[in-house]
Amino acid sequence: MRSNGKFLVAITASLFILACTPKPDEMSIDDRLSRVQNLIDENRYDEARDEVNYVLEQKPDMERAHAIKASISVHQAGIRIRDYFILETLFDEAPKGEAFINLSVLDRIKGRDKKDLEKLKKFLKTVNDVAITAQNISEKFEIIPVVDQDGADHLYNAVVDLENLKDPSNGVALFRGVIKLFYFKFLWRTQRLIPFGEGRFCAQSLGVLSNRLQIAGNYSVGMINDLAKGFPKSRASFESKAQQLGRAFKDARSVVEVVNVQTQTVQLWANAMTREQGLGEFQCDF
Amino acid sequence: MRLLVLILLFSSTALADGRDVLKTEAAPYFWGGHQSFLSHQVLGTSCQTFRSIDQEISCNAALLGEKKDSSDFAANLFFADDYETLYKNRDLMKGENKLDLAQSLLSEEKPVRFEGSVSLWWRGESMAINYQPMRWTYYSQVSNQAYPDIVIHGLQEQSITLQAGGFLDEHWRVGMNLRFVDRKFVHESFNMFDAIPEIEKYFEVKKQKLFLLEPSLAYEIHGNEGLDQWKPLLTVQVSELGIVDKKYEEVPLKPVVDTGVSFQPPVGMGDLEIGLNYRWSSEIESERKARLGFQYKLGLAAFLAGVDANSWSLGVMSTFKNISAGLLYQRKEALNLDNDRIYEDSGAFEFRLSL
Repeated sequence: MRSNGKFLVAITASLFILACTPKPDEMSIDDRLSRVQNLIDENRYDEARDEVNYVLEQKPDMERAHAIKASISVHQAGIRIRDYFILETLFDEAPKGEAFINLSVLDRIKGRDKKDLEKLKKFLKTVNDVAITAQNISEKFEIIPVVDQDGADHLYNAVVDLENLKDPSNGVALFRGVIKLFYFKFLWRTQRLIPFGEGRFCAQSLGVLSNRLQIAGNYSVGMINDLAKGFPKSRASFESKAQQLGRAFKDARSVVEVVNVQTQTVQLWANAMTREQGLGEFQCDF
Repeated sequence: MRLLVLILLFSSTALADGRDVLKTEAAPYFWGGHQSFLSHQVLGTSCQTFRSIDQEISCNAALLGEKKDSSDFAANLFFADDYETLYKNRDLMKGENKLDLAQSLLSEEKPVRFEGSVSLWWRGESMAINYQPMRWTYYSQVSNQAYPDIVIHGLQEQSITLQAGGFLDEHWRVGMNLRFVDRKFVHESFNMFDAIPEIEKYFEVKKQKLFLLEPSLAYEIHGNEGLDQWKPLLTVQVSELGIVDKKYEEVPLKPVVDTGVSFQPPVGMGDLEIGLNYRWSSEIESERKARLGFQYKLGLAAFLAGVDANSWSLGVMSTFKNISAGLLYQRKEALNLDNDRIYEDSGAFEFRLSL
C-alpha cells in the first residue's frame, strides 16, 4: 500500500509540475500599447511615454500609437473624457451672444458710398461675428474647465503630436478635435487667440492682427472639421459651419491685408477713417 | 423522489487589479454555463474526477452511477449581489441607445463583473437533466479615461443538458452529456473614439445556437489489495464538441479534453477525495493546465478546495435538515504586462432549501 500511495503521489506531482511550467513571451506591439494605457491609468507618464516612443520607433506611422501618445498629455492635463462625453450639440444653435463691437454708429451712415468706410464696416462686422461665434463655443461648453497654464502646455503638446497625421481615421480626428476644443477654450478665455475688451483688440497692430486671424481661422476651421468626422449624422452641418467661419476669418483678414501700414494699430486706422467721414464720436475702444 | 429547492446566492467582490486576468483567463468563465454550482466552482476542472459530487449535477456523466439511493429535483437561483450590473446586462442586450450605453461605461472607474443563473435540474441513478432558463454574465472595463479603451462582455443564455452514464463492467464507466445552448451576447473591445463615429456598429448583439456532445470515460482500478483502499479512478472527458449555427471568432467552438485521476484515501473520520485533472484546450492556451481538488465530508459538512498554477479556491457547505449553506472564497493570480503579480479575489455564498 505504501508504494502504491507513492506511485499516485508521483503521478500527481508530475502532472502538476508539467502543467505549471511558465513560458516566456515576447510582448507584442498591441500588448505594449495596452501596457501604456495601464501606465496612464496609474499616472506613470514618463514610463508610458518611453514605451509608446519605443512603439513609434518600430512603427512610425501607427495611428493608434500617436493617439495614445497624445492621450498621455491629455491625461496629464487632468482631462477625463467621461466628464465631457456628449459633444455633438456643439453647433446646434446659432450664435446669440452679445455684440463685442458697438456698430450702431457705423450703421447710421448707410448711404454714404465710401469704399474704405464700407471696408471698415465689413471688417468690424466680420470680426464681431467671429468673436461672437468663438465666445459661444466657449460658453456653450461651460462644462469644459479652463485649464491652467501647465495643463494648456500639455494640451498643446497633444495637439502637436496629432497635427502631423495627414489623413487620420474618423476616431482619431474626433479625438484631435476634442483636444483642440479644450485648448480653444483656454486660448479664448485667456485672450490669446484674439484679444477683446478694454481696448485690447484695437491696440493690436494690423500686422499682428492679420497673423492672429490666420492662426485663429485655421485652428477653428480645423477643429470643427475634425469634430465633424466624429459625428457623421451632423457632418454636413458641421462642415457648413466650418466653411462659414473660415470665410468670415478670410474676409476679415483680406480687409486688414489691403492696409499698407501693417504696423499701424487697429485703433489708429479705424479712428482716422471715421474722422474723415465726420464721425468723430466713433472710438475704437474694444 | 426527493424535492429540493436550492437558492444559491453568489457574490462576486473585490476585483482588485484583475483586468488582465479577466481579459485572458475569463473566457471559460463567460461561456461555461454548466459551472453554476458551488462545488463546480471550487473544484474547477478537477471536479471531472470526483465521484463524491452527489448532491448536485455531476461534472462527469460517466460518474452518475455513484448515486444509487434516490433521485433529486432542484431549482437553483444564482445571483450576484450587485444588482446594478444585472441592469447593465439587460441594457446591453436591449441595445436601444448605444451612445448612452457608451457613456454609462465611461462612468465606471473599476472593472465590473457579474454572473447569475436560474436552473432546474433532476438527477437519477443513471440520468440527469439540467435546464437553465436563463444565465447572465457581464464584464466591463475602461482603460485610460483620456483615450478610453473599452472591454465589454454581456451574455444571456438558455441551455438544457441531458446526462446519461453508468457502469459498463466492474472497471469501466461511460457517460455522455448532450447540451443544447441558445445564447445572445456582446463581446467586444474597442477604443471609444473609434466607436463614436459608427456607434451603431458596436455593441452588436450576436446570437448563437449550439448542440454539444460531451462523451466521457472512467476506469476504476481494482485488483490490488493496497491500492483498492484508495479507490483510484482514471477519467477522460471531451467537451465543446458539436455543431453551431453561426461561428464567431470571439467564442470559438474547439474541443477541450480533460484527463484526470482521483482517489479516496482512507481517513479515520469522514470521507476524503482528492482529484487531479489536466485540461487540454485546442484554442485557449492559458486553459492548458492541471488543477488539484480536495473534498472532505464530515457529518453534515463538506469542505472543498481547489488549486492550480494561478488560482485557488476554498469552500464549505453544510446541511441541516432541508437547509444547506455554503461559502466560497477564490483568488486568481496573474502577471500583468509589467510582470507584477495582480490578483482577483471573489467570494460567494450559497443557500439551499430542500423540500
